Formats: sequence, C-alpha cells, structure tokens
Amino acid sequence: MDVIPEELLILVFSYLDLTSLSFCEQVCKYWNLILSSESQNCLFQVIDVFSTHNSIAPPFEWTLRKAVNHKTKELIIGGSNYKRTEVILLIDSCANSLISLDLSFFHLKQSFYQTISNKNSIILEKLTICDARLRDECLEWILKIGTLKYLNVNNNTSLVGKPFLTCQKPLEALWFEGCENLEYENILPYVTAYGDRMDEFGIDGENYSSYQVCTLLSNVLLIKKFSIGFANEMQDEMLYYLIKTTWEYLKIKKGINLTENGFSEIFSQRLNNLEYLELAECSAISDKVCILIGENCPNLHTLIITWSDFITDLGIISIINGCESLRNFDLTGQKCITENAFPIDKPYKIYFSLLTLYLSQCNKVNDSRLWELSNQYPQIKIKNYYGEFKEGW
Amino acid sequence: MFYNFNKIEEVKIRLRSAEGHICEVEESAALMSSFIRSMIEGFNEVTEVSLPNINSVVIEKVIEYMRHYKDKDPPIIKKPIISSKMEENTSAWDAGFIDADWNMVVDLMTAADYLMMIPLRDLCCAKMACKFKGRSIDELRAEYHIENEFPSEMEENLEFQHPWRLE
Repeated sequence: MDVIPEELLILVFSYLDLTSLSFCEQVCKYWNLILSSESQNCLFQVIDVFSTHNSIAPPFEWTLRKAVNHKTKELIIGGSNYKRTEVILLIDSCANSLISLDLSFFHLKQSFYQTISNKNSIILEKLTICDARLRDECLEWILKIGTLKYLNVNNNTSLVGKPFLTCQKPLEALWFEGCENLEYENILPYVTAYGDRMDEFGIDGENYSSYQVCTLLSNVLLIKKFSIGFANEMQDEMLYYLIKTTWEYLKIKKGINLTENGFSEIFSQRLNNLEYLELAECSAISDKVCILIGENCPNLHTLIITWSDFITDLGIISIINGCESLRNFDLTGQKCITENAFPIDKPYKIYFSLLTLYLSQCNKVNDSRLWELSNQYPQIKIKNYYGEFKEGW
Repeated sequence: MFYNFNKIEEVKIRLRSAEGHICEVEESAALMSSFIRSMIEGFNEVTEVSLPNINSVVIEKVIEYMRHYKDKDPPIIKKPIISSKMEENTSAWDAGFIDADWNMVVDLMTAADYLMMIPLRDLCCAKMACKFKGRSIDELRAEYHIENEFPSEMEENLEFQHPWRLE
C-alpha cells in the first residue's frame, strides 16, 4: 500500500463518501495518518452526510471532529439521522468556516436561526432548507445573514413571505417550489427591486394567475435557472417570457393550458447551455417540440417529458439523434411511443452517455427491445412499463 | 500555394519505455500529456521522449487512451462516486478501459501523474476508490494484505471512536 504516493492516495480518497472514508481511516497506520491528520486537506472541505448512496451515516462525533479540524466549507446534513441537538452543535462548531449549508428536513426553532444570524464572523453564502416546516419568523432571521446569496426554501408550506416586504438584501437565487402559501403581494416588491440581480428563481404556480407569474418574470429577465411547479393556470403568455438563449435549467410542471406553439417558440432557438429540462405533465408537448429540442439542445444532461398525449416514435428518435450527452431520460406515461423509438441499428452516441431511461406506464413499449438495448449497453438502467428494472422483467 | 493535406503524414512521437522499447504515437494524440507537450514545445523538433520509469505495457495502455480521446473531451467523474461498479460512475468505454488488475491501475495512475494527464489520472483514482467503496475494514485489510498494525489498546480506542464498526 506504501507504493502509492500520499497526494495520489488523497485523490483516490476524494472519490469516496464519508462512510467509506471512516472505514478506510481504520485500515492501517498510513491511511490513518492521511485521513485523521489535523492538517487541512481537501477531503473534508465538503461533508455530505446525506448522500443517497449511503445507507448509514458516520457517527456524529466523527463528523463533528472532521468538520471542526478541517474547517469544512460545505455541510450537507439535511435528511440525515442526526438528532436536532447534534445538528445545532455541529453547525455552531463550524459556523465560521461554512460557505454552504443544507439543513433540509430539520425543523429548527426560530432561536437557532437567530443565533446563526447574529454571529459576526459568519460567511455563509448558500443555504438550503427544504421540507423543514420553516415559518416566516425564521425566514426573517435568515434574511438578516449579511453574506447570503443563495436561498432555497422549497416545500415549506407555512411560509407566507412577509419578511420579504422589508428585506433589502439582493439575493442571486431564490427557490420557493412547493411553497403554496407564499403570497404574491409579499414577494412582488422584493422581486421588482432586486430581480435584475437574480440568476435563479423557482416558484409554485398553484395560487398565482398567469398574469402574476408574467409580472414576476418580467422583473427577473437575467435568470438562467427557472422552475414553476403546478403551472395549471399558466397560459402561453408566460412562455413568451421564457424565450431566451441563456437557459441552464428549466422546469415546468403541470402546464396543462400551455400549447404546442408556445413551447415551439422557446425551443426554436439554440440553447447551448441548457443541461436540465423538465416538462412534466405538459400535455401539449408534441413531436414538433421534441424535434426542436433534439435540434437545439445538444448539451442536455437530464430530460424529463412525462404524460403528454401526442409524442410518437418520431419525436423520440430526433432526441436520440440530437441530445448526444443525455444521461437521464424520463418518459413516464408516454402512451403513443413504441419500442421502435429506441433503434439499435447503429451505435447512437446517446446510448454511451445514458445512465437512466424510465419508461414506466409507456404501454406500447415492448420489453424485448429494452432487453436487447440493456444487453448492448449494460450501464443504462431501464425501467419498463411496470416501473421495474431489468432484474424484475 | 496548394497543399494536399491528405498526403502530409502526421509526425509521430517515439516514446522510449523503461525497457528501452520504442512505442510510436501520433503527435496530435501525444499532446494530451502536458509533460510530452512541454518537451515538444520546449525543444524544437523533438520526436523522441524517454520515459525511464514507465514500462512498455503501461505506455501502450496510455497510447490507447490518447488515441481514443484525441479529438474529444473525456467524461468527468462526479465526486463522490455513486457505485462500486465503474460502469455506473462513468462512460462504458472508460469503464472497459480501466477494467484491469490492481497493479496495472497503480502503474497507470503513477504514469498518468508523471505524464500530467489529469483525466486519465482521475479515472485511475476513481477506479481505485471503487475497489475501496462499501468494503468493511477487515475486507480491505484482507484484500490488500495489510496486517492489523494497531496495538490492541489503540484498536480499543478506535472502537471507542467508531462504536458502529461492530454492527
């Protein structure tokens, strides 16, 4: 084991998750020396306790020691099994070095956010608190954190948004997906004043009219990432605000009143930067839109088009030809496509980059073609009609 | 002036291995290595580079990688890796390329580091990480023939620090 130089071994370790690292630390003295040294190395700059690939999180004391010793910059503990008191202690101990913090699912009291906000030396820029039953009182303290640039409070249904009326702090990113009680009147003045500095914006459309969303969008013309969940009420006028070439991330969910023409306008231009595109339950997406996506979005990593009524094999084939670096492709609920949408007559580039292909509830897709595809390109995880992976077919 | 580009043959770079064997590779592919690039750019008309600490089997493997990625960018492997299977972390070609025994991966990694080919070095590192991921302490010790070097009281201390390891 001594043959590998230290700097290369550190690089190897940098590809491992926390739990694996905590095992490696106990294997031999050489590894222990590298992993438990007090000197700061790159390995624990990011501590991700909640990684979906971890079944067990390392013990709290271990994480705490690493975070403090290595002056961790990014801490992701949302969704972990640590206790609330432990989380508070952990953040308190390394608050001065943290730049990014993910606290999702932890329902913490107002006093906690008050303490964080009152720390003089805090340099926190990015805060993610999804599904945490966050209330306006907490948000008020959060918005007082002087260095904050990015705020994601998705799925906090108790938020009404009052603190934004008095907030005078420009943020670069604001995510409110699933905050169904956030009032339009509370955020409009803020978005009007500071929207031109935003890069990312995500809202829940359920209680907003199409006109209201258009007004918000007209104030955030420079955003590169946008998401609207529950776009039931939205009309095509909203889509016209989305016509620009700089998109990196675009998500429109349940746009049932949006039409083919509206979508065509967006995808008629070259979208070289677009990496993530989700058009879930937008029934009007047609072959024409798919062909435009295939032609104009060459760098997509993730494409989700679910439950639309008109897409046939033609549309999917043009995506297969065009989006050569696609990794995740979700076509759940496409009733008109058949197995011929995935030709195997030649080695299309997309098959080499693809990692997941979801065809749940696509009732005309025959398993035999998927079987062949899966044998030829074993790295692709394919879900069939029943939502099963290959083992279950 | 008219050039017939088809007729111009590409310059070949000769790589001399530890055993003294010569392996030839097209210049455009060899430039992937910042080390070779600096040799070529530093000394005019250099066509032979001596690599006394890399054996020819490893050089052939490096050349295979250079030729494959001559005109395109290798995929970037995300940290942390998501699986102990290489196919799930990177492209099928890369996974197949690096599917080699432990010593080969180590040699390739040190060679890539020496030649300053960062994508290849990272691929090797990720492959090694795959071999470590999800293994218990005893499995790791057995696999890499590491004896338990910790004195028993230190072991107890470690167990105290890592109470879940017995689970």
